[in-house]
Order: sequence, then C-alpha cells, then structure tokens
Amino acid sequence: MKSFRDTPPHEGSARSRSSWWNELMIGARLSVSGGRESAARTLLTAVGVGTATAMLLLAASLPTILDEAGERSSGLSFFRNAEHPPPPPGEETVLLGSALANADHRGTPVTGWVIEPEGDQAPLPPGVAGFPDPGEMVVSPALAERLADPDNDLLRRRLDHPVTGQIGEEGLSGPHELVYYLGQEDMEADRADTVRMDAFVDGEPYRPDDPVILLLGLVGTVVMVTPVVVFLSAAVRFGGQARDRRLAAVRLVGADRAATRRIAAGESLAGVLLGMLLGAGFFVVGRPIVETVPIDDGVFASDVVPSPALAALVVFVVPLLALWVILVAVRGAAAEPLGVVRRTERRRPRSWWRLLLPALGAVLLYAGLGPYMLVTGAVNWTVLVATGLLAVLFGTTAVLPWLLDRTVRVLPSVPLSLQIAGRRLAADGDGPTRAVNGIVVTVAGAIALMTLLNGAEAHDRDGAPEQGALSVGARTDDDPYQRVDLRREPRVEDPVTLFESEPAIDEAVVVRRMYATAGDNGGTQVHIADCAALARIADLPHCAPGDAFATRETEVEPGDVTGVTSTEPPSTWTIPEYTELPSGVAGTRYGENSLLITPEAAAGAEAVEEMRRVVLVRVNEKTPEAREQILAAAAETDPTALVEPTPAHADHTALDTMKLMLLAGAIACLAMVVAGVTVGTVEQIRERRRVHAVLTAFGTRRTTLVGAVLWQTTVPVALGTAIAFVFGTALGAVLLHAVDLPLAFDTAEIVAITAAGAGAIALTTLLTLPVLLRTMRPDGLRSE
Amino acid sequence: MTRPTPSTDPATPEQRTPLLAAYGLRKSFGLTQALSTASLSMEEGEIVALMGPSGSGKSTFLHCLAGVVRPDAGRVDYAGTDLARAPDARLSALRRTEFGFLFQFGQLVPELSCLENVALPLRLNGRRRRTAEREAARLMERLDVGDVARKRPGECSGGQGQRVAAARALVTRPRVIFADEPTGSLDSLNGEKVLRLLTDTARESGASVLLVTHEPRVAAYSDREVVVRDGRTPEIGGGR
Repeated sequence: MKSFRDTPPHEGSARSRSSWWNELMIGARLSVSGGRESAARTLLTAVGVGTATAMLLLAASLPTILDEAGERSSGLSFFRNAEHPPPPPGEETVLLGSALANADHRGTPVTGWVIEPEGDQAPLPPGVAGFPDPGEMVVSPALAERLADPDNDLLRRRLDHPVTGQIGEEGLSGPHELVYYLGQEDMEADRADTVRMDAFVDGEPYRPDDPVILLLGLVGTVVMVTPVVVFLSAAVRFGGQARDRRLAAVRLVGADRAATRRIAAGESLAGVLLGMLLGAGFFVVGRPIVETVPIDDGVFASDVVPSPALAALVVFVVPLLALWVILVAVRGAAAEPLGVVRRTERRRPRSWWRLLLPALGAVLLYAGLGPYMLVTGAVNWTVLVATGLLAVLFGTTAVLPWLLDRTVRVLPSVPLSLQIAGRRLAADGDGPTRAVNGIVVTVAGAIALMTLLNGAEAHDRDGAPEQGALSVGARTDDDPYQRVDLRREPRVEDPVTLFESEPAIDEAVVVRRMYATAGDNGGTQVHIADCAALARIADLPHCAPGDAFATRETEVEPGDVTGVTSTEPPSTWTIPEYTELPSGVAGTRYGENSLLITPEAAAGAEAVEEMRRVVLVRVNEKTPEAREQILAAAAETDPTALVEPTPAHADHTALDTMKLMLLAGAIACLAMVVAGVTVGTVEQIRERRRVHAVLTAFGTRRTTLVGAVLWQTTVPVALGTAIAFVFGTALGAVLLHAVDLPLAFDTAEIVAITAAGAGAIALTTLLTLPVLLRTMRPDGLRSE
Repeated sequence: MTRPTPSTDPATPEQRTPLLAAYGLRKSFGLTQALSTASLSMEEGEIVALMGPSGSGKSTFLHCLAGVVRPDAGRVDYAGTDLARAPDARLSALRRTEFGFLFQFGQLVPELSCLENVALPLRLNGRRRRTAEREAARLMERLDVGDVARKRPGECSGGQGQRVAAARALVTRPRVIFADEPTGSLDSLNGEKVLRLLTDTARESGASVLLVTHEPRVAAYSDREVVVRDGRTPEIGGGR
C-alpha cells in the first residue's frame, strides 16, 4: 500500500476549484438520496424558489407591459395632437369623432368612435382590418363578449349595430378595454368633437410616470417576495437533525467549515434549480391568467415578457438569493466533527440599535419624498425611496425580537401552557421570530398599500365633481337631474317620450343651450326652455311665456348683441330684458353666470333652432340598471351624445380591484408564511419528541401541550401584527403625504388583514396538531 | 522520507521521535473536568490502547489527540504542528489526509451508499468521483464488504457497517487511525473480525492506531496499553 507521503494533502487554491464543485455535487447527491425528509425539503425549497422566480419574472415584465401599453395609447391619443394642424381633406384622410362620450357598462368605461374614411387611402385605426360601413361597427373582443352575453340586453340596445369585425391587440391598451368604431356618413369635419387625421400613430409613446404606480410597484415587490424568503428559510431547515448528522460526518472525514457550508448549499442546490424550472413553468402557465385580472383595461399575455436584462438578473440573483438564505439559515449551527454544536447562547436583544434601521429608512424617505427633494433624477429617486422603504419594512423585523424578549419576561406563569410557551420562547425565540417576521413585513406592507389606495380613492371621490366640471359638469348629490348633451339632431322625433319610456326615468325635459359672448364682457350660458323645464334648473319666483331670468353674475346686459359660438356659422342674437334672480337661488348648477329664457323671450333668435339640446332626466336610482337605461335611450336619440358622469359611476373599479387583489395577495403571502411557520413548528416538535414524551409520562395533559404550542405561536404573531399595524399605518401616511394625497383609513380592511394574521395562527396550530399528538402517543413513549 | 518498518515493540520515546505526543492536557465541559493532566507519546506504526472505566476521560483524550476537541491547556504535537492551536483548515486537512476515524457508531452518512461513504474523504480531497470510487471499491473488497458497496449503511448488518466505516477510515492511507470503542456495538465475533482487519491493515500500511476501549480482549490487539483514570494518565510519554 502506498505511504501517506505519496499522497500529500491537497491544500490551498490548487484544491479549491475542483473541490468546490465536488462539494456542491456531494451536497446535491445528498439532497436526492436523503429519503422522505430530503425530498420534502427539496420540494419545499423548489416551491419557494419557484414562486419567487415567477414573481420576479412578472416584475421584470413590468417595463415591457408599460412600454407596450404606452405604444398603443400613443396610437390612440387622437386628440392629443392639437399642436399639429389638421390635414386638408383627401384620399388619405379619415374623420373621427367620439360616440356616446363618458359612457360605461356597469362601471367599466366604454369608448366609442364614429368614423368615416374620406378616400381609398384613408388610414385604418390600429388593430382594425377594414372600415365599418355606415351603421356597422367593429368592436374590441371584450365588448363583443359583453354584447354576446344574454344578460346584456340594454347594451345590445345601446349599440344596436351589426358587428362586422373585431379590433386586434395593437388597437387596444388591454384585453378588457371596451371600445368600438361605428361607421358613419356625412360627418362634419369642422365640429368640435370631430377631427380629421391622415395617420393614427403620432407623437412620443406615452409612458406612465405616476409616482403612485412606482411606489405601489416597489412596495408590492418587497412585500410579495419577503414571505417567500421567509418560507424558503423555513423550508431549508426542514429535516435539520438529519442534515446536522450528515454534516458532522463529512466534517469528521475532513471537510472544513467552508466546505461544509458549500455541501449544505449543494444540498439545497437541487431544490433551487428545480425551483427555477418550476418558476419558469409557473410564469409560462400564469401568463394567460394575467389577462383575466380586471385592473383598468387589463394586460395582454403577449405583453408579459420579461425584459432581457432583468430576466438575466433574475436568473443570476434568484440562485444567489436562495443560497444566501440557505447559508444564513444554517449559520446558527456550527457543524463540528462530533456533531452539530448549536449556538445556544442567546444574545439578549438590545434595544438601541433596533430602531436604527427604521430610522435610517425614515431619513431616506424624507430625503426622497420630503419637501426639499434632496435628490434629482428618476434613478436616484427610485433607489433612494426603494432603499428607504426596504429599511422601514425590514426595520420592523428588528423590533420584534426585542419586544418578544421583553414580553416573555413578564408573561404570567399561569396557566401552565403559557408558562411552557414563555420558557420555550425565552430559550429560543429566534425560530418563531424569524417566521413571524414574514407576517410582519407582509402585513405592514399590505396596510401601507391599503392606506395609499384608500388615499387615492378619497382623492378621486373628492375630486370627482371638479374633474367632471371640466367635461360636462358632474351631477352633485343634491341635484335630482342627470344630463345628456345631444350633439347632433336627434334621431327620434320626441326624445322626452323616449326617455320617459325607460322604467328608471321618472321625468325628462329638453332644454336648448348655447354659450353667448358680448364684446369684452365675456360670455354666459344661455338655457332656453319652457317655464316647466326652467323651473327644474332654478327656483324661479314666477314664470310665464316671454320671461327671461339672469343669475347674479351674468356678464351680459339686455340689448347686448352676442355672438353665438355654438352655431355654425356663428350667428348673432340680442339679449332680451330679464329679471335678475337673487343671489343664492337654487339652480345655479350652471354657475352664477346663466341666462334662463323662455322660447317666447328668445323669439327672433335665428340661432335658437341651431342650439344644442340637453336632456335633463330625473332618475329613480333604485331601479336596477338605471344608468344602462339612460345610456340606451341616449344612444337611440344620438349615438354621439355626451352622457353626464355621476358620482355613483365615478370609476373606482380599478382601485377596488387593486384593493381586493392586495387583500388576496396578502392572504396568499400569509398562506406562504403559514406553510413556513408550520414546517418550522413541525420540525421543532419533532426535535422535542423526548421532552413531550417525558412531560406526558409525568401526567401533563394533552390540552396543556397543545395550548403551549398555541401560545407559542400566538404571542409572537400577536406582537408581530401589532408592530405591523403601527409601522404599516405610519408608512402609508408617509407615502400618502409624498404623493399629496389625503390621509384615509379603512378600518374594515385593516381589521380584515389583521384577522387574516390571527387566522394564520389558528391554522398553523391546527396543522401542527397531528404531529404534536403523535409525539404524545403511548407507542411513541415506548420508543423513548 | 520513508515509513519505518512496522513493529510490535512498544515505543521507546527516548529512542525515537514521537509521531504524536500530548503534554499535560486539561479539558473541562462546564464544571465537569474530563481531563486533568493527560499525556501520551506514540511512535509511527504503533498501536496503543487507551483503557479505563466509563467516564474516565479516555474518549475526550482521544478527541483532543485527534484535534477534534481543543484542550483547555497543554499541547498536542503532530508532525511539528500543535493541534491544540492549529487553525480549523489545518485540522480539517489533517483529518482528510493523515488521520482516519472509526467510532462506536460508524458515523456513516445514511443517505449515501457504502461505496460513496468510503469514497467521501477522497472526494473531499479533490479526487474525481470515478477515481475515488475505484479506490474505495478496492479497499472494500479487501475488507470483505465489496458486496454491500451499493447498499445504504442502514441496509447493512452492524459488522458490515463497522467494516465499511473502517474502510472509510483507511481509504486515505492515513498515518494515524483514531478508533473510539470500534467494537462497542458489535457481538464478539464481528468485533474480533473488525479489529483484526483494522490492525492488520494498519500494520501493513505502517499506520499508527490509537484505540479507546474498556475491554481487555480488544486491548490485546495493541502494542501498548495506557490507562486513563479520572482524566489522568500515569504514563508521561516523551519529554520536552
């Protein structure tokens, strides 16, 4: 046999490279041959890594999604090109006007266009294969689906035109967009609501630059990935005792500490690689599901493509992140040749530095979001705010061990189950804390996002009338009438009868409206209708045919010759004598600058017949589908009518959906944490088999041991949820302040998230019960 | 440097340079003193039995001599290195190349096959898998456990398991083999077989063996016996 001197020890770098590979491979070999525990650990690791990979790939697709949506909205932003003078009519031009503006279907906006090509070379709108003939329409697939739904009779009545084609993806900003092009003839190019175009794609692509979206994305990614990391760190600890034995054995035959760590990492490598494959699979399978998410117009599956650089980063970062988590997870156990020495000497959590991380986060957020904006540039800003958010969110996790340590020291010793739980937590609070930190970050992040969304919703709600006023004037809550502006000659003889035939419409009146100007005095809104109709607009002291009334701030005087801008060609008209209404008279819904005139008083105004008609309808809101009935009647009267948006129909669907998804996401994250905590607790129970057996042998009741496990989970989770509540609310308030939104809380949602955390405790305890009860069986005792 | 001819003669420290020598080792675990003043000197190729009653500190003494446990005081000289103060990397390298271990319970990795277990130290030393397993298989044949090469340790009998563990201890052609109650879990027949194989192979390769046991019949395989009692050794080997 060869002497040892013939085989000198290989040391240093000469050994390192090949042995690194060898050690990783040894670890990988151990992971696939370690029996049920190894298989379970590999599977759990794979699920964790797979979920993280899929989430990050989805996040890596966001730039593509936004870019693609931006490209499409650029092509569709017809009226944004005001700086370009309209082209002269020709073979290559098309006329486009809006149809039934402000319409929606059950809360989802419906965009309609009337379209007429002026020549054979007229450009087609994006995604449209051919121009619809007059009276026919092409529709988006989502609208086609709704039109085909037997429950949507009113929608079919509203869009009672033959569908001759569907709009392709390139003409839509998302799969849920409801849009149609209605063929029209004899369109008038010089109307305010009509535009002549020779091309559809023009201008820079629109890129959303909303800080709320950026913040949501940042917080969302952190919040979603953190529980996965927690789950992963719990998963790699599964079967810890067997792994400890293995590591001790390899240490005995000469593996140094670094090599042992590499073998441990190699053991998880198979799970990581499998997880990445799973993640790619999850992503591919999940892509079509993205289309079903009903936020705004939705996202096309074909747009969900990770940007190559970010995808490469994910492929590079995920294994490193996973290995880092694994190495951190096993660092507490020093594998020595005679076994694993656990570093049981618990350092008492000190308080002073615990607040450093959240404080640092607060400083960074202040620098990024505060009044002085200490950084410039989008990248710097994003990095600063992201770091600040991460520091605050992860800072919450530094507070928990300290708080837990303080709490278990003052826990009462009765009942016995609480005493056992307290002692266990005092002896080893790191395990539960680690797992519960996942809940803390998730719940804190979810509460912060909820607060942000509630603020956005409150802002929308408060701002709705103002925004509406910019278009057609939103109806206020105390105004019983809704308004439909007819922009073309009605297609029906008697609009009033048509509207009043709808079950939801109690009453309808038609007024004529124009904007009259008089020299340098400015102008005024003129409403012409009979006394009955005028009485609905304002509280008139009296009214007879031939009367005219003016609100206090009317800027025209009797005898002024006004130019009527709403007629074509512009005409003139002399303001008649009027009675001035006292200030504060109700009916100033059109402002304090209005003229209310009976037709007789307007006699002689040739322009009257040219004036636009406005239909005021009094609606019984309690009637089902009242809004749909108004829209159907409006479309029947004038397909290009402008329908008044109402506060009730202000579109909060997207925010509501986001909140719902956030809640669902938070609960899904909690489920992941529950899985992680359960794995950890099961492992802990298995490690304590002997202790349980002894306690049972001494006559300890089962309920006491079960209670101890319950307390053991409850105390850290309750503390964690409380910390999450405080930090989450504070973070949400900071974010709201940053984006200038009002502070708004929805207690019900916060309670729901907190309740989900409590449910997590109950579920964890329930899931661990079978294992716990097994350790207390008589046969288990005999084996002891 | 060549290996000296194996000898059954007790070592004479005054005449030869000891291969492994310990001086005044002390080791406590908490308040329990396991070793108070333990010393020993071993020559190359020598088989020494550490004997003593349970709890006398003989296993701790072996662990200190092997560099697996660091003594609180004293020194352990091996080939010019003080194992009591050597860094972990150096100790690991020694375990990988010059030391072999055989304990009462095989310390085999249950997830690996017997062949992979025996090849493990070679692979940790950077040897390619095939080469390592070829060498391991050869040694296993010699120790009469070639037929269990593909089995897991849990599928082998106790005697087979210990012979596999012996093969793993010997596969790196170590200079010193540390055996702690290697037959403690075996019946007498299997115990004899394992001991004979271990000592024969050691003598054949010129390796030294430090054998911890409390059984005189096991100690009979050694060249020399050292009794440990209350953490002390009566014999002070070597002298520096």
